[in-house]
Amino acid sequence: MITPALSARAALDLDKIDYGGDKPQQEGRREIASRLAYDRSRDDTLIGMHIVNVILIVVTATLYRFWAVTRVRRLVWSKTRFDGEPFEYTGNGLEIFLGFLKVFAVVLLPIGVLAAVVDASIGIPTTMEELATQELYAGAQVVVILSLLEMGRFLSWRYRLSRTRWRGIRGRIDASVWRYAGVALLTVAAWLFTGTLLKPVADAMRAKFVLSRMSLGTQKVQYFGGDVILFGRWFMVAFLSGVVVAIIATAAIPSEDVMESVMAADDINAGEAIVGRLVIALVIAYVLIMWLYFWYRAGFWRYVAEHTRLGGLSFRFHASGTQMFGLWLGNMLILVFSVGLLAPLTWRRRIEFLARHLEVLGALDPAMIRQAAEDDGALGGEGLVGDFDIA
Amino acid sequence: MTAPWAAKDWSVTSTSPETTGSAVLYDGASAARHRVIVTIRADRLSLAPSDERAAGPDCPLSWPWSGVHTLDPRSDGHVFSTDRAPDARLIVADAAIATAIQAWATGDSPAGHGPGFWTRHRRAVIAIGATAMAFLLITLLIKPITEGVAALLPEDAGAAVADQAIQTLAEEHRICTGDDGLIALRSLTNRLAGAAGLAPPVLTVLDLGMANAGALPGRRIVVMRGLIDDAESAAEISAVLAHELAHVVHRDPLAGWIRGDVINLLTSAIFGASAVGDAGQAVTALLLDASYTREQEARADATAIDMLRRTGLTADGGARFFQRLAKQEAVPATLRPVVRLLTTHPGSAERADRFAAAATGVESGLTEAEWAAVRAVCG
Repeated sequence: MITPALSARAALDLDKIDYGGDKPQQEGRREIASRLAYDRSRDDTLIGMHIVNVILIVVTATLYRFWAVTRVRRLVWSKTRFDGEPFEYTGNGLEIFLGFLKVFAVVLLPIGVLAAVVDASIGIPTTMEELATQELYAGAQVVVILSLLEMGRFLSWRYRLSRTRWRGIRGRIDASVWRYAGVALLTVAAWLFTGTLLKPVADAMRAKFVLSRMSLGTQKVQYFGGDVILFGRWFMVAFLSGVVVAIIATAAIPSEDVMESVMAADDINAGEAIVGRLVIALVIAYVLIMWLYFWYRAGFWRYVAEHTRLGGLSFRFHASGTQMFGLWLGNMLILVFSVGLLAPLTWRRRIEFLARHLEVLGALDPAMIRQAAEDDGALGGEGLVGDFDIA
Repeated sequence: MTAPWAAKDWSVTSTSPETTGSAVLYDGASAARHRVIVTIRADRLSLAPSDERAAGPDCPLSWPWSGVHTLDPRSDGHVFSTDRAPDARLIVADAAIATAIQAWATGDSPAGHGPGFWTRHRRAVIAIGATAMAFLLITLLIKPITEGVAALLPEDAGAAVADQAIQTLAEEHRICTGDDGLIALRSLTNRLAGAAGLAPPVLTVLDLGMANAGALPGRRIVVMRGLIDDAESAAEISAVLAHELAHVVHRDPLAGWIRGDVINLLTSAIFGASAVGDAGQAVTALLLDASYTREQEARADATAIDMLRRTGLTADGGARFFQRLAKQEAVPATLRPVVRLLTTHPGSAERADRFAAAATGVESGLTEAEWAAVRAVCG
């Protein structure tokens, strides 16, 4: 377990750029873990930039969001370092904007037109066949749109990685989005048709697909994870979530007799008290379920980290579910109380959390990491994802 | 690996007046860090590895000023690159050297990197401006285009969807089935439609208290019970029916629906499928639609008066109907312009005057017995 103080000192050491060539890794230094660091020095600039971005986004009817996210990423990337070297973000707003327009024209427009045509040609179904066609189409539409959103997430990862450099070398994910479509479909099906029970399988498949195709220049990421993992843990989360809901519902929902007497008496105060109690119960249930969920999440990332290698590097993730939950809760509170204006603090908390809890072991041989050809496939931008999903 | 040009560059020893300093170079070919000596010359920036025993960088080491550009600074130095090796990164920690390089470098920075608002945001401004222009153009053209499309479609287009809408309303509110009343209303409707050259429309009476009537695509007319209850005479019903049929003549309902779809598509193209988008969409749609419909209503009134004239029916019912409406919606005079801007229909008083001034015919459209049956249509 790495203490924050230790990792902060390690980051400080590494911040001192020496202008010598690469030194061979010293034996003792391998055990100093967190080599990821976040430089807080220009955080006021970042917050100012974010506030200007929010204003410009409002003024331009949200069109500026593509450029806003680009400016922010350029700064955040440059503040984040690995082994003392900052990342560089080379994307530009126009390409994300054009990618968004392309997805709109090629995907959303046809789906919308098809939906209108099917609706207009059937109208009120008069036969079972027409009813079945309509229902089938509506169902297919939900699956297709959710899959498209999932594919958008993949496009976004691929795009961001292809626009990220470290020591001048580009990252990449070497797979077309259409090959990811199968994973996307399974992910959606796992949610829709198995009551989320297959979620760990979908998560594992997604991690495997993406990580095993990821690389830094010519240096490929190796991923050794399996397909069926963490079932027990996820099952426990689902089961305990059910228990939480049952207990809180029993405690907060008044009996029918009480409801009837309140309704009969037309007692507004009593009615409000019931609603108030229900809202509080809902919030408590949500927070408790998220806490359970992060227990699964932490286990998942621990598993993924332990099964990933990059050249001579291996990884360990030490955060517990409760720590991840704390990060999430803190960020939620920051966003709520600052009306989103302090979002940069939540990005910083996320990166610093990762820096604190991700232990990186071993050494990279920089001379062996060569630049790979430009990833033309990633030129299409981020698809439907044009939001503030920064880090 | 050492590139041939590197050897040539090493032999160039710096002459005294030229500024030199140390820097770090990532050559863009590998992740290896190279310590270099930079020399600022009149025509170019020269780089030379400072440790001759180490493997040299794998990129051109002579950077003509016309291709050198500045990138975002890092916390440990300024960053430069060159057109000759776009992947290469030169990191200069010494502020004096960095400033000198910046002064000499004349290469175009990649979009979004240069100094000045215009250089950094040129593409953003152009893209947002182009989108806004396209939006404006479509806003101006949307009316003639949708009306043209609606006129080209068959008369029955949209009937299925209209029936679906009526069916949805009917789940909440009963469809009135008084036979005699329906026969009377339908014959009046057909008579008016015939005068405008329309095929017989499909008329439905809904058991709804609202004093209103409406036209839907596919020649569907819906009359609400409240309209019949409030009417002081059969002539009012004739005038309102004529007005709704006039909408059918101009294909306004179909054009409106098409416009709604186009507006939905447009706004989702701009805002994306986000929560913010929904709000923006609602506001845009409201503002776009309000002014069109006001024109449409005035046009429908004119056509309705024409229909009444051809069938020899009186327009007085329309005048009385709108006078009553005008009383209900009386607004202080100062607020009237604002209300006129926001409402879809022309002012009711204005419309009452229009109907009152029209000399059309004298008949009310229904006999006493028919009018009684119509009043009982919902039982």
